[in-house]
Amino acid sequence: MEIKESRRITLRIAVCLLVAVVIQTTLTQLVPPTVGQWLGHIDWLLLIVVYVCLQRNPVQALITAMAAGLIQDAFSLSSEIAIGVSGLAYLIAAYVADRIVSVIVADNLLVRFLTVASASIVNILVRALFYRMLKFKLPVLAGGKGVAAALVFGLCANLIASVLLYLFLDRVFSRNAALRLRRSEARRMRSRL
Amino acid sequence: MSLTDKAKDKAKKNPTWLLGVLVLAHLLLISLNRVPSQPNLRYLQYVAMSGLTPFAWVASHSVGSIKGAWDHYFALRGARDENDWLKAERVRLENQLREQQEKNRLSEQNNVLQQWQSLNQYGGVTATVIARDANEFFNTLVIDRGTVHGVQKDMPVVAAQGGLVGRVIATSPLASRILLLTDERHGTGAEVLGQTADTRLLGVVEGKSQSLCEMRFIVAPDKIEAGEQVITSGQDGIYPKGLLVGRVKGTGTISAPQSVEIEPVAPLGKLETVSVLLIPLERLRAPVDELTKEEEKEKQDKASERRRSGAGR
Repeated sequence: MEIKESRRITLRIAVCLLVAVVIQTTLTQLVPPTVGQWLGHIDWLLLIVVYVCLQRNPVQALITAMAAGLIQDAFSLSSEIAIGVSGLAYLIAAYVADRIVSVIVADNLLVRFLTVASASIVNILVRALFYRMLKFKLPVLAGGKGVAAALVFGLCANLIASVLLYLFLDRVFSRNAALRLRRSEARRMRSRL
Repeated sequence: MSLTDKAKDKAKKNPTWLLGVLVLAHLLLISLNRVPSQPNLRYLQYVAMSGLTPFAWVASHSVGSIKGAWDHYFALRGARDENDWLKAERVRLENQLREQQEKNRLSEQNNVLQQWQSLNQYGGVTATVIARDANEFFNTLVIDRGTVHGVQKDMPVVAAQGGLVGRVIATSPLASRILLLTDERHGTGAEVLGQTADTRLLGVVEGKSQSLCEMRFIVAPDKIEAGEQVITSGQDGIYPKGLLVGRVKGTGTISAPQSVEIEPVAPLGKLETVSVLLIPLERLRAPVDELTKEEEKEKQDKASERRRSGAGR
């Protein structure tokens, strides 16, 4: 029974990732440019990864992060020059998000905001660091100003998008909502023992 | 309890070791991409691009239809408001038309149009932009035309409104990826058209930000006028001569510049339709290849001369 449920969740996550990548690559094309500029800063794949982290299942979260990274690289120029960087950034962001939700038991908007914010910052910083290490002359990396702008815009866009997206995902993963808190409690108890 | 269950349980208690393993795997993947003998893992992108095309096409067209139906509904509801708005719009458009006529008169004097006319000897494929790069750090986009339609790697792409967009960097049967000229990896030989026919300056145009390029001069000029047009030089073997890239940004005269900022003419932020110029690559590379061959021949001649003079001594 539990295996069936687990498979169902995995399937839903996979579908969410695929929809996220289609949105990420096509949404800015479908809306007016002024709105599209803002929508371009939203990292839909990261938001899905953070949502999986909020389910309090670290293995699932890290595997999702890896898959999201590979999917993003596949749909980007980065597949030709730096495949793996997106996955690495998502992995570390997912780990940070998981650490936060493993400490805070409560599941409310504030915790979600905190998790999304931390994951967004870590994601952009890791990317910037690796692209710089690999000596890519990206416009974003041309000075601290570019990275700071990417951080601020990415953070704001992700936070706003997460509110609406997570309301929708709560419906998709509704059976998981109660499980989530129980898992978190159990992990805290285990760590105390 | 099986081994995988044990591992899962361990990972759930402490995910750090799993993170370590996955990070290591990714570092290995990144390193693989940096090895000169295996520079690309292109098949991943090839499969992804082929897979994305139908989804992007459906999304693009279905949103268009819904938008159309929505617009019709509101067109009926707000007919009176629209009438008032149209009157105001007519006055605005009349002013705009006068401005446009003036601009057209000026642009007719410009010889860039002649360069464009010379380009028409090549065929072109009109394509719709269906997707942008999934990673916001890169400036590429995906169009709905691929190898089936005759699109090949390195073909130049221009905007429907005019102006260079970039070049094709990857193709699949039904889609292609375009590297925008504002991307850092996009470098091409280009020349600035001066106000007189003699002041032609050569430089390299590179991407600088999401909306700007930079032109580094090969020989720095004494001065340059802002607003001057930048066109492709045709010496890079990628773009034909005379494609309009953009205009020098700024105001007045810029004295002794090492480089200048270029504002692309093509609206790169809101591209919907582009045209891929079906220019055979061999035709563009022919002058460059010829030059390389000549240089090699010269080198060989010099070397054989040196050998002969050495043997004579």
